[in-house]
Amino acid sequence: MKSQKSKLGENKKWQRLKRNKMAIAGLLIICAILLIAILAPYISPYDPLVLNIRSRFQSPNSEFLFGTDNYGRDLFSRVLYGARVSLKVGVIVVFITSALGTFFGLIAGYFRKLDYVIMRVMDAFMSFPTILLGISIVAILSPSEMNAAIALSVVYTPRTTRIVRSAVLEIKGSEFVRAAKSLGASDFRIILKHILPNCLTPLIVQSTFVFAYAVLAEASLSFVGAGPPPPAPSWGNILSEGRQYIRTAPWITIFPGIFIALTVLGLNLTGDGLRDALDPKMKK
Amino acid sequence: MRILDEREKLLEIRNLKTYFYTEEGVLKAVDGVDLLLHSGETLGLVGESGCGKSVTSMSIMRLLPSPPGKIVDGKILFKGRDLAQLSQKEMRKLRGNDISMIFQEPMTSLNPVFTIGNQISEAILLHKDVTKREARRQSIEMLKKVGIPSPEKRIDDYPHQLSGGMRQRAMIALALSCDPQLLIADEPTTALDVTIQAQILELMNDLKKSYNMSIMLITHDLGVVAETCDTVAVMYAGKIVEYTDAKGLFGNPSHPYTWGLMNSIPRLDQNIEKLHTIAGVVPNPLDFPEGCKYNTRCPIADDKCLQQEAELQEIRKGHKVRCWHYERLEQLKKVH
Amino acid sequence: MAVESNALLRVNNLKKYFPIKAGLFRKTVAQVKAVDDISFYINEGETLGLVGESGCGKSTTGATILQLEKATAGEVIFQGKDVLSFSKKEIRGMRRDMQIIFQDPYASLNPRMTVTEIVGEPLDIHKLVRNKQEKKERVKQLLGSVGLSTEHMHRYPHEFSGGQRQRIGIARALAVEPKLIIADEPVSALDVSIQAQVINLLQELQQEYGLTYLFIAHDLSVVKHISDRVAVMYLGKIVEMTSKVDIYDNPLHPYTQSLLSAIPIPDPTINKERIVLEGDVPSPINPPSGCRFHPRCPHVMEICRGEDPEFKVYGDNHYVACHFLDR
Repeated sequence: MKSQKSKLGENKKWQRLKRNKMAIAGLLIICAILLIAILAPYISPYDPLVLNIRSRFQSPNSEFLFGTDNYGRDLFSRVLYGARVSLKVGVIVVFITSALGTFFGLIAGYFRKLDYVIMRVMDAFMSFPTILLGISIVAILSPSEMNAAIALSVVYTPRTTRIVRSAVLEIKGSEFVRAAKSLGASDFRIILKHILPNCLTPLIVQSTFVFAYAVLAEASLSFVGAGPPPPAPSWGNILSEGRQYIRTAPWITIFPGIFIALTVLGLNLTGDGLRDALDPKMKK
Repeated sequence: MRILDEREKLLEIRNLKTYFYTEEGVLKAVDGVDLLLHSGETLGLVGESGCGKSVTSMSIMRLLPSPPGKIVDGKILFKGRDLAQLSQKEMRKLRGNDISMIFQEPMTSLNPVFTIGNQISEAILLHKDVTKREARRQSIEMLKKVGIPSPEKRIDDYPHQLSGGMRQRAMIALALSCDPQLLIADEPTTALDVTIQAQILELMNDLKKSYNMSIMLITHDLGVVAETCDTVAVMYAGKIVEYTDAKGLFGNPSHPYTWGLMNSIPRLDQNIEKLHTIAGVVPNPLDFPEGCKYNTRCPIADDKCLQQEAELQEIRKGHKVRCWHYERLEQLKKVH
Repeated sequence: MAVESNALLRVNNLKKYFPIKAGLFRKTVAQVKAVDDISFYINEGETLGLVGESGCGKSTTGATILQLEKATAGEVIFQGKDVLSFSKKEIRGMRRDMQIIFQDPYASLNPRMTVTEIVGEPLDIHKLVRNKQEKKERVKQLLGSVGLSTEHMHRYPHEFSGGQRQRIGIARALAVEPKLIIADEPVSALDVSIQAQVINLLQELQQEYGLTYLFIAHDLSVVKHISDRVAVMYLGKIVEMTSKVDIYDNPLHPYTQSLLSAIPIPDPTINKERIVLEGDVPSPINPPSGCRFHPRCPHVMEICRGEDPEFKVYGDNHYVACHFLDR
């Protein structure tokens, strides 16, 4: 009877997330786009790279679902493949920023003396406009998928660091950390066993937002030519190439734009839902 | 009690039921409470956390978070008018004017961005037809009455500039600014130190006399009850289990819960080796036991208590108890 | 102060000031004198109650003895050694002998650890068990000794009531088999009917394990019940220290007297004379000169405003700091 109760507790977070219809919608969108990215080679009707001059600038029709671009490439296939690049960049950025942000955030939050140094460096990074900083880093490293991801990780790490640091500061002052200290626990143990697990909630939520930012920023980088170089399709560079034909062939920009918007929307909805579901204050 | 009965009935609660409809089920926070408060009297509502004492007061003020809270049954008669039936607009006229409330934590119930003078004046302007200058004059007057030194200066202070005790005084001044007939005080001294608590309790007693107002005092502290209340209702798990005047309650506690509670607090004027304890914990309000709700912790419970809950019955004049075996308690008292 | 030969803990002239920093260069502009020159001792196996109102420095005293806060000055002699001179490593070792129970049973347990992990943590830290099996057995035994059933072992703190959580906290403190336990308001966050359970448990454990307690609380009735001797603190100073019988029957300091009279007694037939103190507790940032109680004291004399009274013995182990007694 009592053990059932504890299972109920674990289920509660999921239940709360489930009741949040917007979060579920967000989750569904993400899953759909993820599926598209994985299945792109199987569901694309054409090769995204093959040029076909005869069918240039076709508006959406039954043959080319999203129409074609200035080289006559099938836009539907390109958008499907583009999901792979965008999501890959997103995942890499989330991975790097979470790792670095957690590391710096834990150190800055826990050790007062290092706090000042680390946070001033982070502030310096944050004081640059996001895209400008990204472009400069890519410019130094040369444009590629991986370098765009690295540049964006540098851009977004300070934000994650700030979030982790503030969580650490709050948890560090809590009584259970004092209790661990009074038991004779070392700093290392306190950080690893007591502070880190309690930082995970804000970190997870932040990660969904970073993912959304990264997808968006990758598009912006590609748009200005600092992303993965053509002809490889990413949502950003499809948009960027279609820009000059926006009056005559608006579908080239519209479709990747819709997918970017959908992904960001899905991630933001999920992030909001997760924040509510994981908030321990909502428990009762 | 007979003398009290001849006084004017100010507040009469009949069979109040306030439920919370939560994800996990229906939480019967208040489940059939009857209370009677005469003018000029102090009624104590005692119990541990979750017993429904605060929900009762919120129901009277109609300040329940709704949803999930809802008054599902019963009457709250204030001077003959049923508050449970009033619209929120009508309630707003009553609140702060006829009925006022003070809370446990004065810092969170005063608005931090306005001066205390501002807040008191606003309450006066809201309910009385006076000029701003007159409202300010009355505010200073109120602050003086609640014992805040140099009120002319203090009136322009913000809440954070006052100490805990002073803040609670300011809160009381705010509550009393429109001469309410009923003051509901929800744990008014719990957040305060004992020497400050003594000041506030004395202040409340003085004000009660000079304003001829009634007080409903909600507390968990039996000591505070003994010093301030005329009548006392002890609540457990959403119901009143014992209801009588203060002398009767402390002189002859007749519900096993009341008796257990009194014995479990260490007293300054007594030396005992080991404290009496009430076994177990307060039952989960979503999962109350069958029969008498105290049966999981009661030393004298038997089969009857497991099956059926007793009514609140008058066992001697003016002394009501909800227990099948209050007579058996007498034997238990002798053993102790 | 008289030297007690069998004192487990002796605190001499302990001070803890918190600097208040302001401005661009974080200059210290003032100091909160949370604990200002206090001395007391606790004999082995006894309970000393430390009582006072909020902000009087009683909790800071506990934290400073445990070195959760760094002392500003003074000595804390525990088992014959001054722990304030200990290295970081020695302090960690010392924590096997000195433990603390916290006030808030909700905040003092890590919400993401199971009961086994919480109670077992000190066993890991001090390497008191050799393997998992041994640890499990020890945790079971500890839970049993605080009256929790072992089926609770794999649950998380939020699944317990306040009283049960406080028991978990006590089991955690007992895990290292300490000699001294500092109990910082261990029952004030609990419901009345649960308070008695925890107080009785603390007393039983004291007898069973021969524990010594420093029991910190604001509730004089609780302190008097559980303690052998009581020390009363006011604004960073101990104003009176004596046996629990004397503190009630023969309080000498005017603050102790008013504190006692302010406590409501659950009996409406008792009509006592109450000394209601004027005003509030002053701020410890700029405490009053001389005797810190003088602005509120009903017996204030000229000397009280200028001179700090000495903490002296009056009668059998009855220490008081008050000029009024020397008239």
